[in-house]
Amino acid sequence: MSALDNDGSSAISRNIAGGDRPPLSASSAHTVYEIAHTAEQIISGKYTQVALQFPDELLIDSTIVSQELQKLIPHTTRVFILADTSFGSCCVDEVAAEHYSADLVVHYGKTCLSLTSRVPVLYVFGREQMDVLGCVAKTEDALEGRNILVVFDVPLAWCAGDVAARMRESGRFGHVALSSISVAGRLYKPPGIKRAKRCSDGSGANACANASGESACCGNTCEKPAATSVDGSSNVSLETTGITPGRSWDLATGKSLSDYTILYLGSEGATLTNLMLTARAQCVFSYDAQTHSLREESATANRHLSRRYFAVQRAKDADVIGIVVGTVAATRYIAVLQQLKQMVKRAHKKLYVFVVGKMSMVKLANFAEIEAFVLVACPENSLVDGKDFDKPIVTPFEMMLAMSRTREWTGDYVTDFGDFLELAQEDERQEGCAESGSEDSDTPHYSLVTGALKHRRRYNDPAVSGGVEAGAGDLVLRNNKTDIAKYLGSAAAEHLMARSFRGLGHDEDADEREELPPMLAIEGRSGIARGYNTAESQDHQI
Amino acid sequence: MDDSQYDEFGNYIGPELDSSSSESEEEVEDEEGIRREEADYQAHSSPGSSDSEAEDRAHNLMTMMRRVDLAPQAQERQIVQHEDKQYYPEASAVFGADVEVLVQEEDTQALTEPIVAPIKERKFTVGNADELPATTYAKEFLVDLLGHPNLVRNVAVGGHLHHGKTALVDLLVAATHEWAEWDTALPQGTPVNRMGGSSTASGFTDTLQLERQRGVSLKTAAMALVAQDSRGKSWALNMVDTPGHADFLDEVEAGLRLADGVLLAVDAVEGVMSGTRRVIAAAMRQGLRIVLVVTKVDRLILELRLPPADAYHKLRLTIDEVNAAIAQSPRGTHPLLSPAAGNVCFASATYGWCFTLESFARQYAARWQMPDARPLARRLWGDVFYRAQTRSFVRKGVDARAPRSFVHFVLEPLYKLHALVVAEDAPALRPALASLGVRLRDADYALDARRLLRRALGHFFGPPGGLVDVCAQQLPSPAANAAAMAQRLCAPGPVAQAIAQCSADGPLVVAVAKQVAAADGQSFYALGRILSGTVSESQHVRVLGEGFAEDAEDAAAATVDALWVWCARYRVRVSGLGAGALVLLGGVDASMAKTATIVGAEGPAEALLPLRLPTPVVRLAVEPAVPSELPQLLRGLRAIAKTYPQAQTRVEESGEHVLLGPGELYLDCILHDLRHVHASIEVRVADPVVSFRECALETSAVRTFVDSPNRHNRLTLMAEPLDSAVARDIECGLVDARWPARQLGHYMEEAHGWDILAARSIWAFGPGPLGANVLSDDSLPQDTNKQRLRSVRDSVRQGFQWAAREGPLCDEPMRATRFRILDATLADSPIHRGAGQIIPMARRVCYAAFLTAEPRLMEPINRVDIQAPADCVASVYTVIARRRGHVTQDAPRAGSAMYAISALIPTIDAAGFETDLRTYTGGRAFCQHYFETWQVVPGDPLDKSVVLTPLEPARGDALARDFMLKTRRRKGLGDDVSIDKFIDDPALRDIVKSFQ
Repeated sequence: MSALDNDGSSAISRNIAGGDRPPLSASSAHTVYEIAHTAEQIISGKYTQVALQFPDELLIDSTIVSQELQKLIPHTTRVFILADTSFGSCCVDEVAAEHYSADLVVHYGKTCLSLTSRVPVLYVFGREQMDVLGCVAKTEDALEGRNILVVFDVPLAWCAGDVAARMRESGRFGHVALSSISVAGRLYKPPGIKRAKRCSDGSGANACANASGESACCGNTCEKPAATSVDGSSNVSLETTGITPGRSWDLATGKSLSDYTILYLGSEGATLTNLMLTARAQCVFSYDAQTHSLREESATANRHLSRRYFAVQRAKDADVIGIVVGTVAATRYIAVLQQLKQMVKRAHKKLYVFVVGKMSMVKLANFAEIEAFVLVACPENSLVDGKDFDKPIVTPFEMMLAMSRTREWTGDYVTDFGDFLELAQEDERQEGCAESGSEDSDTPHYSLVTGALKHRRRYNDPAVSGGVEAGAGDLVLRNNKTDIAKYLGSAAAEHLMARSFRGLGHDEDADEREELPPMLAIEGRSGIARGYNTAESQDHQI
Repeated sequence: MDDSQYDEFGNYIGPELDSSSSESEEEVEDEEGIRREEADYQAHSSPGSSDSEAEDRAHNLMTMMRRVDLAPQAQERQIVQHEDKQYYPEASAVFGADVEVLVQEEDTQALTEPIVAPIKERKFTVGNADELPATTYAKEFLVDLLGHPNLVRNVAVGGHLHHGKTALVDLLVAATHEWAEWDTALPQGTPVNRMGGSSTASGFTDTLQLERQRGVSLKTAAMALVAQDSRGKSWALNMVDTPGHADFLDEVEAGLRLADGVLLAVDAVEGVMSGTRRVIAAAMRQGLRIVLVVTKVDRLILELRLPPADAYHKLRLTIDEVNAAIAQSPRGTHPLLSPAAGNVCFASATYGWCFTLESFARQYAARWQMPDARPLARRLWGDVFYRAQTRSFVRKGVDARAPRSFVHFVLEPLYKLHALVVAEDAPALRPALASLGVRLRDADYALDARRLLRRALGHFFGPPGGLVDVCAQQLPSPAANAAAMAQRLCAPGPVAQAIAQCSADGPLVVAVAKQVAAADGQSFYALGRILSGTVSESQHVRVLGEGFAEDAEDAAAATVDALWVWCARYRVRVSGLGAGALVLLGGVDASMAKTATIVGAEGPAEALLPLRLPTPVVRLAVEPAVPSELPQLLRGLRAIAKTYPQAQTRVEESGEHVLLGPGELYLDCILHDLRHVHASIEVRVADPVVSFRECALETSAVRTFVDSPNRHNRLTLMAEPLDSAVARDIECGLVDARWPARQLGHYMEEAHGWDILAARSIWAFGPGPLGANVLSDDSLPQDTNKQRLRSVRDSVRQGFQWAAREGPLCDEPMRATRFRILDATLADSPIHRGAGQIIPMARRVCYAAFLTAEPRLMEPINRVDIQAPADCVASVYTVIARRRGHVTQDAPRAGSAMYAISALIPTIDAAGFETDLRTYTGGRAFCQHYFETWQVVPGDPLDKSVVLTPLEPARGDALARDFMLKTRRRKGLGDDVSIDKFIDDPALRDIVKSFQ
């Protein structure tokens, strides 16, 4: 059960929460999972390897869906199920799909709608029960006379149009707008798809590396996701008015979002939180289809935003930053990563990049020298409440606020990668101008977390690294050989020096063991995590 | 006179304009130039020219057009388009290039708004800092004297609120300074202290407008002056005037840091009050000598009208009370304060006089031509009686009618003088005063009784030599105090040696005790004491922060822009000052948080002990009324953190900006400064709340254990209450977990009777070195692999610190809880017991153990001291009872009609108490309150059967749950506190459930 002895058996033997209901019957699976529609898309696209990605809570229906689907498509087309995704189940697990050279991923259930970069995706949202009339009646009482924008969680996509139509009919509201999901019921093909396919002929790891290179360049070239939009007849442009990738809405002319009340259909979760933080509507009401309750959400949003403000302040105090890559699927994550790296370097802070798969506190706690983490993940996964972790975990946008000397916290919030990149580039230009003028980087900054002044440590600063630094890390205990080591801007080495316990042979009774010569550095293991090329296995191969 | 320059009416028209020759020459030149260019242009435009030629052509065309502008003559001959014509000169041509011209077509500005707004003057102090008033001594003399540490006295003036500290300094200022301009600096509508009949003489050191509006000192201010003692010798005195209000004890601490001795002001009527005790305790803690000034002696005569013999006993009682208070304070010994020993002075600043026994005896000596006044002075106090018949002093009162010598020689003349001036009219008074050597002007006799009394007494006693005597003779000079100061402020080393030398040639060490905002509230000066070396203008120095001892990075280079001798309302700029002086430094504040140590650019560096101030408990959330003004607010908060020694400003986890301060008045002043002085923005403020603490009431019901996330490690822990005496010792910094085990064990064994094993197994205090929780390792070597446990000690400590910082009840720090590690099973390989596994495990097991040990909330409790007349006492009791308080002491004040009531009130209910009290007693009761201790809130915070009704105050046992839930909601935590989150093992969970 440990995170370390991961031979796969634990994943198989693990119990999954939410599997306490019986699987659906074949007929209801047809309607809920839109099997006929899926088969049609597969046949028309002539796909041969189809990955069906299920989140944990829908895994119970996966066998019946795959069986039914297989019945409708030619036998040459292979269908397989993807579970236990490496990051979040809301994102399409492109890497896992590529391991099996899938040329289409069908994603079931809740999704954050972040765009993929390599594999075409068909989203099947599923259907949640919904009392449309009851919902409209409740809303009428509470929100009469207001302008309403209906936003919905994806399992309720099938009835959202109905809700909006009935609300318009009732005539008791102002303007009723309905948000739309661009990829609903259609196939999404990423722009770099042809080249990616060619690469995938090689070995898996190779393809991965190449493909990520592709996506980086793709992220840099295409300015707007609108350009990478859906194929087909749609003229709905993504990202002209909307804020979440894949969600868009048309408001009445002359009105802005602040004139609208958002009615969110669905239970509370990451989607709602994200919506509340980024959309600055008049207020947000949510309607929970399960409990038939309507409630106002703005107060919690403000509190949530305040908590993020605290996280930003803590990130401001950090000198050593860890960037945690929490997605390898969302488009332009590489561009975001690059931007973050530049930003951190500009601020002369130390930077480490991590890929830890599904993020957990235990994993991050192993890196004690890191003072703040930035999570690069899809919008819905990136808002991590770090209550159980003593280091702040912030989003790229928050990191930008923390690093920037020109930008201040205003309450506006950005989770989308595209918006972030735009802001970051604008920042870069401004900082570039300001850099030459102001040399105040040496003055300590006033930490709002501790209420004290904090001296910044400057890593990789050309002005400093040349000369002899006067710092605590410079003083090294003299060993019996009178060696002096200088750590050139390595936060990890400094951290090791500051620790009282430094592993075996270097602990408190160091005097007794001083005769032991230090071990020579040897080459470590290499390969991918599910089977390292250890010395023994290499011997076997020989 | 040349007629041609005037017209036929005699008006001047000037000489004829015949300078055309030179102008026409220029024109010719211009025309030629243009012709040449035109020729060029034609040559260029010949067919076959390439692209680059076309560019040249365009360029030439441009130059040509410019030439056209220059040559109006040429322009006239050309056809000029209508839109190119210039009928009026450009605004820039009329007003010049550096004038911005705005043209607005419509009135967008309101009529009330001035078109040219006057420059708003930002000034929050009275007086002009750089305008030097006339003094009885030359400023150069003052600066020269400051260079001789033996002739300098740094004296902090401390005492209870309104016991006349500022007035004492005024007494010295009045004797040396020109009075003239004091009052013009007063803001309009300020209530002026008219008590003494002289509105001009109050508060020279109260320089802030806020201080003058409120009529109370709020900040510590230093006043450097030269004064003569009763023998006429000049001394340079740095009088550090501290505030007396209970909220501002931090300013007193800062003032004491600057001084070598304390001038303790005690009201002759009120006697020793809580503020007096606190100043005494602070001074004793810092090892400072105390001299006493009994102030407001006139109140005994004019207000209480005590007979002279009773007045003696009242004065005696006051002095005895002070001695008793000194004896009660925990540390050190102090010589007895007694007028006979020369360390007590009597004063009435209102009427402008003060005397010691010696200075009074000197009056007799002068009159009777005695060679030495001291033998008489020795006989003027205590049980010494004067027998008029034999003209001798006796020890025992043989004759019942023989008066005490003090009464006979000091009080009776004083009473007579008062009676004379108040009762007699001018013709009778004039010869009587003349016989005493007091000659007043005719105009003075026309004054009202109070003013006349001030004039007469002021003349009789002369300059305040007695006050200077006690300071100069009884308090040590900077040089004499240097060794003690070195020992107190830093560890033995080169810096301590330098401080002990107190030499102007030594390495530079300046202790900055506080920062002072400039008159405009935008820049800051550092007020410090030069302990060693010389600081001079444009000197390069290093500013060491408070954390320098732990983190060598907490230092910054700076340059001294300017330095001054601070004289409260004005400052004397100097080029350099040597050891022993107080100095106001400019240009070094950038990297200063609150206090700092300044050392030379080279040489030894060691940070001095920071001011030890208690953590303030009243918290206030603030936010800008306009969200976009957040940056201004942050700047303001930073300024607040600089200028208020005890204030803390921070962002809490909920994202609120929180101000922490010791009391209402303190926070009110902060808000004033935030709104008007530093930030000038509107600030929204939440209701004040207090910090809580979480503590355990019992020992854990079971041995709680928790597994690490990978299930390879298990830690077993129990929580139990910690003795409150130990908790207090830790909080006061008397004991430190970083001491070597032997020393720590010895201390705990000696001071608190712990057994040696328990004492030596202490691992850490938390949160932080002053956190009153203890983690100790009580595991047995036969059960536990001790060596392995030691290898994860850092991680366990970190987990414990984290848990102690954020308790499970409502995220408040824990207090007075002891955690004992009973057992630990740790994984074999180090990789399975990394920090990532151990820290969360240690934190959770602390929570689990804590929650099984009857967790309770603690709230801060304020001590309230109330002065009320006897008929108000009943209503005082009512007010206290309504606020969950209780009275601990209630006694009449000797010699007055007042009662002194001492009570305890929860801090959270103390907000608004003062107003309530005054309303209830018609303004006749007066109170001071300050945080004293922590106390458990009644009731179980986890008791779910408690029903809380909104908008209704919780009572009795419901209070703890009420506080906990409200705090949790404010912080955005869920309502439910469940132990299940921290315990995984189902069996243990069941056991725990069965206990609850």
